[in-house]
Amino acid sequence: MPARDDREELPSMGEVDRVIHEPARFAIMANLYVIESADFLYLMRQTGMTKGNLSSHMRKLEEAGYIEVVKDFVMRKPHTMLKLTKKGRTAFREYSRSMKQVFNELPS
Amino acid sequence: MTQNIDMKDLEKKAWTSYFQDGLLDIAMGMIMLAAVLSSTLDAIGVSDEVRIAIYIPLMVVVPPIIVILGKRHITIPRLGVAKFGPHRKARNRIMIAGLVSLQLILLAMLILQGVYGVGAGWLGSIIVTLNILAAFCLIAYLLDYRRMYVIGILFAMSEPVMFYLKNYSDTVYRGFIAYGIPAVIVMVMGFIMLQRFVQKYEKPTKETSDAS
Repeated sequence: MPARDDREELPSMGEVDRVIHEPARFAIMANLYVIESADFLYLMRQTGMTKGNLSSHMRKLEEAGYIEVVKDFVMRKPHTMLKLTKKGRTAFREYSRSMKQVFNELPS
Repeated sequence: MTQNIDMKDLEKKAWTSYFQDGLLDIAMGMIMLAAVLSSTLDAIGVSDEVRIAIYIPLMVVVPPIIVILGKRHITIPRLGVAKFGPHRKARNRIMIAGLVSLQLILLAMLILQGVYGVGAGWLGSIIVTLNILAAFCLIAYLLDYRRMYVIGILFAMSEPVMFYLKNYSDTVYRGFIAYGIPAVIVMVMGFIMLQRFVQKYEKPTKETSDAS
C-alpha cells in the first residue's frame, strides 16, 4: 500500500485501471488489442503463460467485461476464442493514456 | 514478462509468427520443381499437351494443398488461431489487386509477343524477370514476409538464366540449372524453418491446449 504522500505526488495513479495494470492481464489485453480475436492456445504461446494462469486472468478480465469468451467445439474438441469487448478496447486506450500521464507528471 | 511493449511491433510479430512454419517456402519450391519437370519433359521431346497436363496440376494444385494441410495439421495445433484486424485485410486486398495487375501486364506482353512478335528475346526475358520480382516484392512488403524477397530474387533470376541456356548453350540440364537450384535452396530453407517451428512449438496435449 503506497503512502498517502506518494499518491498526492502522482495524482493520476489512482485513475490507472488495476485490472489491466497487472502484468499478465496487461499482456493478454495488449495481445488482443492488436488483433480481432484469438484462441486460448494462441494467447498461451504469445504470453508464455501456463494454462491455469491464463485461465485465471481470463476469468478476471471477463468479469470486468473487458473480454468476451466464446466456447465451442471444433472437430469434437473444446475450443475457446477470446476477443476484446468495446469496453475492453476503450479501457485499454484509457489505461495507456493514464500511464502516459503518470509519467508526464513525474517531478524532475 | 516485459511491460516494454511496442504495439505495432507486437501486431507484426503476431502476424509473422504464422510464416515461421516454412510451409509457404516449401510450396514455392514445389512450384519451381514443377517448372524443372516441365523443362525436362520438353527436353526429352514430350508433346506440349502432355507436358501441360502433367506440370500444371503439380504447379497449381499441389502447393496450395501443402499449405492448407500443413496449416491445419502442423501450424494451428501448435500455434493456435488468431484473426487479424481490418488493417491486415486491407493489405491483403491491395496485394491481390497488385498481383492481378501484374499478371494482366504479363498476359498483355505474351499476347503482343504471340501476335506481333513484340517483346521477344532478351527484352521479353527482362520484362518477365521484372514482373516476377515486382510480384514477390509486393507479397514480401504487404505480408511483412521478408524471406519472400530472397525467394523473389531466386525465382526472378531463373528466367534470364533459362533464356541464356536455351539460346546460348545446348545443355540438357538447363531446367535443373535454371529452376532446380533455386527450388532446392527455397525448399531447404522451408524445411529448416519447419523443423525449427516444430521444435519451438511442441504440440500441446488435449488437456493443455484449451481453457479449463
